[in-house]
Amino acid sequence: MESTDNTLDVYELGNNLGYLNYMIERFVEMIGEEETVDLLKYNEKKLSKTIRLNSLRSPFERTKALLKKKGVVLRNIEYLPEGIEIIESDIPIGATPEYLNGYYILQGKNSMYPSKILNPKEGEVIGDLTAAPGGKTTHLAQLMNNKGNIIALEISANRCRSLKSNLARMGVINTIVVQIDLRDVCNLELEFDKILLDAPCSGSGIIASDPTRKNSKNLSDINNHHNYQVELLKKSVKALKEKGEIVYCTCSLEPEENEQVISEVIKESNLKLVEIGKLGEPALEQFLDQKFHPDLIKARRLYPHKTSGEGFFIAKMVKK
Amino acid sequence: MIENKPTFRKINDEEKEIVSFSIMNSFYDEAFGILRNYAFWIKDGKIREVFVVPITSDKILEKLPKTAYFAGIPFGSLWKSDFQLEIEGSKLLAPFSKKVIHVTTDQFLYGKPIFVENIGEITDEFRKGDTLIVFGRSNLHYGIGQAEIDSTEISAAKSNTVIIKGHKKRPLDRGWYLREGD
Repeated sequence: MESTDNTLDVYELGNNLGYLNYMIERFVEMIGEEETVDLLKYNEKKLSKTIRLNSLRSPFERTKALLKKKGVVLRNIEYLPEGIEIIESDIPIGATPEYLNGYYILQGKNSMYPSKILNPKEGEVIGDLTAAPGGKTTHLAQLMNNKGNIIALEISANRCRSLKSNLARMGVINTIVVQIDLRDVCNLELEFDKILLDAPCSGSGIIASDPTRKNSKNLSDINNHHNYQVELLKKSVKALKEKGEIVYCTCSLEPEENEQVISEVIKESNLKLVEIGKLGEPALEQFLDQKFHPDLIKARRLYPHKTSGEGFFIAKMVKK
Repeated sequence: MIENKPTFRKINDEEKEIVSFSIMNSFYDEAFGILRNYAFWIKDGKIREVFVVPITSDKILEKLPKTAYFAGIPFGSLWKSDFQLEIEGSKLLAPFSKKVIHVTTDQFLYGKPIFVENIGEITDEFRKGDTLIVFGRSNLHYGIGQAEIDSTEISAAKSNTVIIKGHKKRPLDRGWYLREGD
């Protein structure tokens, strides 16, 4: 793409916005120049605030009515009955008495999908293996109507505290928080019906909310994340029951943290990728010189500029 | 695995008696009905934290005494031979409370006191020292506190007389969740 009066070359644009050059090269490889410009521009926008209504505490309509009464302008999110976009608010939405009563939680729109895709059922034993601060854990509990058991893992005491705070506030009662390293999950001697692994990642899908990511990570950081994610996924699979299901997700757009992790683990494990609907777009079949497992087209990529939310990668697998 | 952490254990008879006595004083008998669905667990530490855990989670929790950090509902805490019901315990038992106070201000949520001028409605007479469940506008649960005066004194009291003290450092009002940082 050439510079014109109105249009900057994508690399020049990336440079002006503070990105490391390698990131732009990779975005272009993934989605092409035109879309990379859209992505970079989108990342400069302030993400709209979204909340998830909590049926464990209050019926959706009551919460909406209470917020409207306070002058908050709301918009429903398509296909997410519990998701609401805050269009306008003169009050601090994260400090209202309704918030303190757990009627809702501040949660990014796209981060509501992994729990829904896992589809936990009442009575099941669910592992939320990287649980803090608890947005997805409380969502899982809501989807289970507080029945069954969620085992939420978190190694950091500080993060356990924020997890505890959110679970209590949101009226979750079916969760046990366990303070251990995820890599020790098998020592718990529990077998999970389903597992949510929201793996720690480099966060290149959430630059709109964390602009430091434009220049804070290099390729070696991404490779380190990859190695860690592979280890976590392998350990998680071991703790899964036969025919159990696992959702792996990250808020990174890097193929090394997503398609490559799944490709690597799936060839050594009894895992089978399953369809998760038409959300976003199919995962990559290849990146640079790397070809991924053919079933990876069943996993989905949610690009920020195309979904108006955080960037996500989501894959669901069944243990054969 | 992390060692030397506070352990989770089942409540003992003496502790159960303290908790039950405290509930009996402030709530109708039906409160014990709802509590039959839960098991009482203690997390030892400087303060003994009391959790009520659905009986369906009991077996799993028994496997995790050293590693469990939190389970079920944080119900209250035991200080020597005193039991203090906390935010979520008071929320669970609120429908069975003998004494409820409705306030017209959000100040209690900031760990601040409730004054006479803040009172909206009182459902029952109360005495100094009674446990009161606090509700705010739209019947939203605000927390729990202890009466500083008798309800019969209110009509003659000055508008800035304290009815319930605020406790910024204890989990008694729902603003605690913000102060704790969620």
